[in-house]
Amino acid sequence: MSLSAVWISLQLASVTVLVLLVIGTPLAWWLANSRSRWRVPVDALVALPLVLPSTVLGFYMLILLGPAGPIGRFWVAATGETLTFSFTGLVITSVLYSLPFVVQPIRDAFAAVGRGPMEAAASLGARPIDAFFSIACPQSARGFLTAAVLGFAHTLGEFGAVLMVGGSIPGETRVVAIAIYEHVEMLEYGAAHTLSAGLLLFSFVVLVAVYTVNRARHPVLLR
Amino acid sequence: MLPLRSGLRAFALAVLLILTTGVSHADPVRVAVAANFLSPVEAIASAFEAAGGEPVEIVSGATGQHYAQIINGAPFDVFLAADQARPARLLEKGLAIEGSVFTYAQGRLVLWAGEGHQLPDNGFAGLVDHPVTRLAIANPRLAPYGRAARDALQATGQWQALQPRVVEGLSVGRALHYLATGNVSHALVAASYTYASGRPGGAWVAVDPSWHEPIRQDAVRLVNAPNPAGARAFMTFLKSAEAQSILQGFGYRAAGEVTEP
Amino acid sequence: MNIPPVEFDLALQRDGFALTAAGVVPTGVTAVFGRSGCGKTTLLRCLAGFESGCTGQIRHGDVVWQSARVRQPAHRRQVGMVFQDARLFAHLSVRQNLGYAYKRRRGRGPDWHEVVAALGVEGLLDRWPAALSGGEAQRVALARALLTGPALLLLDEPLAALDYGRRREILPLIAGIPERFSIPVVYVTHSRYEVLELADRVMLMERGNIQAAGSVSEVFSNPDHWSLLGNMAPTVIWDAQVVARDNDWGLTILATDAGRLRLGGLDVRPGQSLRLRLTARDVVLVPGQPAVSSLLNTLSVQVDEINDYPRGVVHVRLRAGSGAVLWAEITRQAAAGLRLANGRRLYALIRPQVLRINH
Repeated sequence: MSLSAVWISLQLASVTVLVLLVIGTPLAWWLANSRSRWRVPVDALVALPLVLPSTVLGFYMLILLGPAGPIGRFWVAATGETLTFSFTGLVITSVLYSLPFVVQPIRDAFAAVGRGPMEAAASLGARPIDAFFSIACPQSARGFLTAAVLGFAHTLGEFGAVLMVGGSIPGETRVVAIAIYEHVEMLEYGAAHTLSAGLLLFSFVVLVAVYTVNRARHPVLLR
Repeated sequence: MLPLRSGLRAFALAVLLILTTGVSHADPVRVAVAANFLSPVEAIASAFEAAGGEPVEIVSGATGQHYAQIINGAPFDVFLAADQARPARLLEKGLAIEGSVFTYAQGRLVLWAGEGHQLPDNGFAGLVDHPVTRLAIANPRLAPYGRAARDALQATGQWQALQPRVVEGLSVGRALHYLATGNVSHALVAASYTYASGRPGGAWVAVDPSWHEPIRQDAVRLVNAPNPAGARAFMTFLKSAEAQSILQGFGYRAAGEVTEP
Repeated sequence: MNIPPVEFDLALQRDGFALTAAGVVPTGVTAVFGRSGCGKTTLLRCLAGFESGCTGQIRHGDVVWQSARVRQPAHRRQVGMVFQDARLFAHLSVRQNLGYAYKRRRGRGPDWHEVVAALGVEGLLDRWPAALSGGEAQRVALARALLTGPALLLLDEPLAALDYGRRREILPLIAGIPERFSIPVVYVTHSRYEVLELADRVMLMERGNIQAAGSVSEVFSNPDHWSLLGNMAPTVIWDAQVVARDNDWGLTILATDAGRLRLGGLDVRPGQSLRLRLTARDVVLVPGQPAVSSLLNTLSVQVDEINDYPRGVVHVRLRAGSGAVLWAEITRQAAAGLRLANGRRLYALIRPQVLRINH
């Protein structure tokens, strides 16, 4: 049971990070470069999961993703499946919950690249999308690394929202954080220790790795 | 420098004074209570105070958390658990007072159909042949109501067929929340919710208590109680006819009605 | 080879700043000169297509870069740009930086090897931008801009961050670009020495407007511009042609509007042109033609105008030869001794300074 929870957590974290990199990168670019008056509110919106208790997010996700909710209804009509209590629903919830951890490092990295190299690229004949992939992205590589690792680690550690939306279905939505919680509640401290220490050690090793890589040549990104 | 230091000393003294008076002022009875039992306890507490008892301070939360807090020295006088296991363990550890344990309430289970969904014609036993998209229960490994729900489903031979559609809430309250938000069609929850003022819509039917172990909620006085006298008085009141009738008003079977399985 | 000029007529409105500028960039080096904040960099960025608020027209021959209806983005304009801070791509080696431009070149551009050799960057190709000196970085940036095959090269104070020695190395490289690669150059600077040594033409900018434009000798010789040029002492710039060499004495004979001049110490061939500067303090006035003097050049001049100047100094405007103008700065006492008056004929002993030699 615990092993399947670890496996689901790893799957969830990987898929979430992939989805976040795909949707978070253009969003981060827009946040770093836009002069729109919507930039500040959107920036704040992205940061919301940092300050909200995860149960708040879970509470609203349950309503939004439920079969009667605006998103859930559409999903049921399109696929015949419900989003809540499903792996897909967990991914959507985790994507929202880990959004700032992925978007903010990329946004800051893009901002650090600045307009200078992009103008230089344009003057060398690079169209904007070309300059984005050939200049902005490689120069923001550390930001992407930080984003991926933080997003992954944070999704792994998420508990409240995932428990609310997922419903702790073994083999489908029972992730390692929920498994740990249940072990503790059932006074199975040995099993709780094994999982907790594993999660703690994993998170620590990952963060040390990121800090080391970042320290090496680019001290700005992670402070 | 000197005036500042003496000012600081005066401030520290004032803070100390306020803190100590805050502690020594009129000892309340501190009751740790399972979250799903909060409303009845509030009603019982005001009746207790009206009858001349000391003021009651209610700390509501998950029974497992309270248990961990008591082990770590939390200053509660009375512990109203959602189950029998935790008070028994406190007794084993010598943290609860021998002979103070009693069953203050017995929970009952209802099958609830959400709005737009029907109850089975022949009640709980007909659930398996009924259109159920998802059935929410409390976590059977953690919550007494969850274990009772699973027991009842197993006793009626419906567990195997329904299990893929079962969704577990962290608590019985979470299970009902799934129903309220339309994420499940049916839920097996505590009957006390049918008495709650903010209950979701739909229909419900009682589950025969003979299909599961009784959901006994035990109360116990704590060895480290700061206010032992107040604790004793509150426990005595909890057994009184007045308190028991309040409990029935919230959908609990009174402690005296013993069910033989 | 016929190189079409770039014509522009632009306007830009920004908080507390308005740019209105029209002009023509023909072949050669056109300097844009002005104090910081005068809008010269903004004009350059408008030409490059980096200023989204810029309105007006830009045409390169028959090709419209910008008009009321058309607005080519920066990457579609055939413009090479070199920034003050070089802006080499830090994640690419020098070779990759150059390759980045070469792969994206628009139209036919100069040959890779020719550019690499002309700017002396062969030895730098496998280095990383972080390991380059300021001068090396700017040479790479120039090579990179040339490799895109630009129709116009825009240089935004490329030497501002360099020391004197590095400037002396790079200035001739830039001066040679228009002829060698057939690309007109616009050179933004606030250094009048760079204008004098480098530019064929100059646009003087002040508060977002082009106050004057023309050949360097016209603009610098006009007293109206001396304050804009930085409180310059009376100066004239003459263009000179090498007409002969006197190998016995090692002298070069130059033809100017003021007449023939002889200069020593030059390594030039007949047919080459030079730019000379003559400041008022390098002119000595005498009443009669001296039999001999240590200054080789004596011009017959006529007093055109006398301006009293504070602290006992007089500025005298003189005409020589076919209407060439020069200025002399003398004391009031000397003016009295020479009986200065408009129309009086005198002789001027001059010491012109060679600013640059066109190859």
